[in-house]
Amino acid sequence: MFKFIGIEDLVANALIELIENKNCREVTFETLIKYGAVVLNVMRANGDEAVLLLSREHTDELIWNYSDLFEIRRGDAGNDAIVLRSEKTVDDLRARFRAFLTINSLLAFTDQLSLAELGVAV
Amino acid sequence: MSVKVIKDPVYGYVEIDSEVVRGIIDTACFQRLRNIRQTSYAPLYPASFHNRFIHSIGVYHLGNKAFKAAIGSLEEESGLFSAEELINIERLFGLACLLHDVGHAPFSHTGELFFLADGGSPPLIYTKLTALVGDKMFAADVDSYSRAGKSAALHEIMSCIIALERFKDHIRDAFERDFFSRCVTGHRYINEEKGKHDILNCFIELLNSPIIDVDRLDYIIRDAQTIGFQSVLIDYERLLEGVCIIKVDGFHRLGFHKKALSIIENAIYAHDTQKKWIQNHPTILYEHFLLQHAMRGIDKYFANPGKRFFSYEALTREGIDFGSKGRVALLADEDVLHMMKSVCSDMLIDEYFARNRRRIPVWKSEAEYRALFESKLGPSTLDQLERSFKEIEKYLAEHFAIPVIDDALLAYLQAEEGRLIEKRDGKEITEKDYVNLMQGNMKIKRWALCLERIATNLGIPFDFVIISANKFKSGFLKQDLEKIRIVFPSLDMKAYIKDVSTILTSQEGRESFFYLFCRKREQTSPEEKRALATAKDVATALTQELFSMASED
Repeated sequence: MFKFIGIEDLVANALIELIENKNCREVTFETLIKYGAVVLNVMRANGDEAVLLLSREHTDELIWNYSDLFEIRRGDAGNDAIVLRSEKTVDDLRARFRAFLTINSLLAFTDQLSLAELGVAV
Repeated sequence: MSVKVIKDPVYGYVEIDSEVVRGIIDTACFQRLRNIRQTSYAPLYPASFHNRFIHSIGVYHLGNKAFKAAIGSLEEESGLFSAEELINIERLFGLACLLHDVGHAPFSHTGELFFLADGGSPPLIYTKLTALVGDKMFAADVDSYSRAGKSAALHEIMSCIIALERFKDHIRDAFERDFFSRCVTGHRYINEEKGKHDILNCFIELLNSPIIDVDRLDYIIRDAQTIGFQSVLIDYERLLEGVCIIKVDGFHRLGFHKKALSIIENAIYAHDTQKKWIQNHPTILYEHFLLQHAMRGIDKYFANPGKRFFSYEALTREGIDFGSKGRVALLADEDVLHMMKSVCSDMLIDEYFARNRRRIPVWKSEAEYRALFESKLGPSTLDQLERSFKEIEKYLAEHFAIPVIDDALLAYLQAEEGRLIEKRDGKEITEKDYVNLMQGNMKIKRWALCLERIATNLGIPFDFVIISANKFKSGFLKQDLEKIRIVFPSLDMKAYIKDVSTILTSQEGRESFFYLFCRKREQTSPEEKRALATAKDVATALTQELFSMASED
């Protein structure tokens, strides 16, 4: 089935892995794009068709709809990052973004190849 | 220069260079826009059948006016560009205005997501554009925008590709391809050279900015006027006369004369009013839900290695051949409708054509929703409720081709429990992920059972759809809006709009809510009419259920 993967799912699942494995609470857009590309490849290999929604409208929606969880950190040379707000925990992310996935999506987000793009070794 | 005139219902006669009419407007690629609806408002406003063709003519007209005003304000600084260069920049800017939507997918923004279906990452249409422009600085800036989460919209990218491929006689060398594409995508020159790129950036902003540009200005005015939506009047002539290029810290920047301030406020108000009362209306959202479902089906039906229904090739006159399934060319709304009627029909697509088969919204506006829940549940319980329903909507979209809350969902949830246990026992998923997924499963089940109970009590089918909507907030990001510069010539002052206007007063709050759609009970006799379950009955029952459930959470 054709799936749209929203930027919020990509960000949240990347941050869950980064926090639990590297104690890192932010992910740059650059890393996110690379991570997303591999997640898509893994999904395709498992027979799912999916696309990532990462254009400026979707980033704006992320800011509007998930401002309780995330904020944008403007970086040097335009290398911006999405940061988990200090009062939020990885459990908040898990409860909202890990509980409703299909198993195939979960396996793609946590595949070793996907995690390697985040610099997470399992 | 010989000109042709086109009668626009909003602006009157619009003059266009005959060569542009013959070489661009009269081509099949551009004429396709006659068959792409401008808005998704038709289910609510039946007269809303104006198209991207006349919108593009309108943007061209407004663009010419804005450009002349901007250039006029630069006069005292002659020498930055030669006269020939300025004429060419004006010509390219006009082409960008005219062609900014030439790559639009059917049904406007509903269809454009399927341009990503080719599977590339980064999507192939992005890499195709940078290859076509063939300029290192452009490619670097596209990359920078991407790294800031501000990649251009898909129809903008596709419009550039169509224009650069199809109108090579008009957009010729590297500079022309670069500047044209930047105007359409809104990608400014990041490393500005004073007196050159900073001025070009002002023109880019005239067509594509986060706040006021000629594209947005045209659709705000045209949509309201064409469909009969009552809104404030926008004196676009006065607004565009106020466009000026000013110097800030040695760089040229776009600004507006103080006389434009009231019109800017009106334009922002008009934009937000449409967003609140039309785009967020449940009838519009439900139709979007049906169309997106239909497009998924069509995309899947035609999907072939290297060939997609929603693709660059399908937008051209030559088209794309799907063998026994036929050829698709100059893809437009009618092609999608044809496929929905002929080969991709199902229960939801039937609803698109037969409105009397559609589910009805339990509440019909954000105001009704607030009246029903806000005071009864309180902010934190309501927040929990909104999150839960958003999660159910997401779960359904993830797991089902037809995302409906019904018996099939309950059966699926039951079976999923067993599958999750198997995956955990087989060490395919971690214990933590297992716990999360199982909690999610239980939560969805609990709400589904609640809705089943309501349906049984009211005698209506157990058959609901959830569609999220954004609570009304200005469609403009505050940080973008703040950046509009207002010039006060008599005071010799420049100021940011946030310091001189009170329009930026919206407060942060909970961001989204949801619509719940249900089916009516079949009416068996006129006497039963009063006893029929109505939306109000569902809402009342739901409030009671929610109150007790939310209290338990």
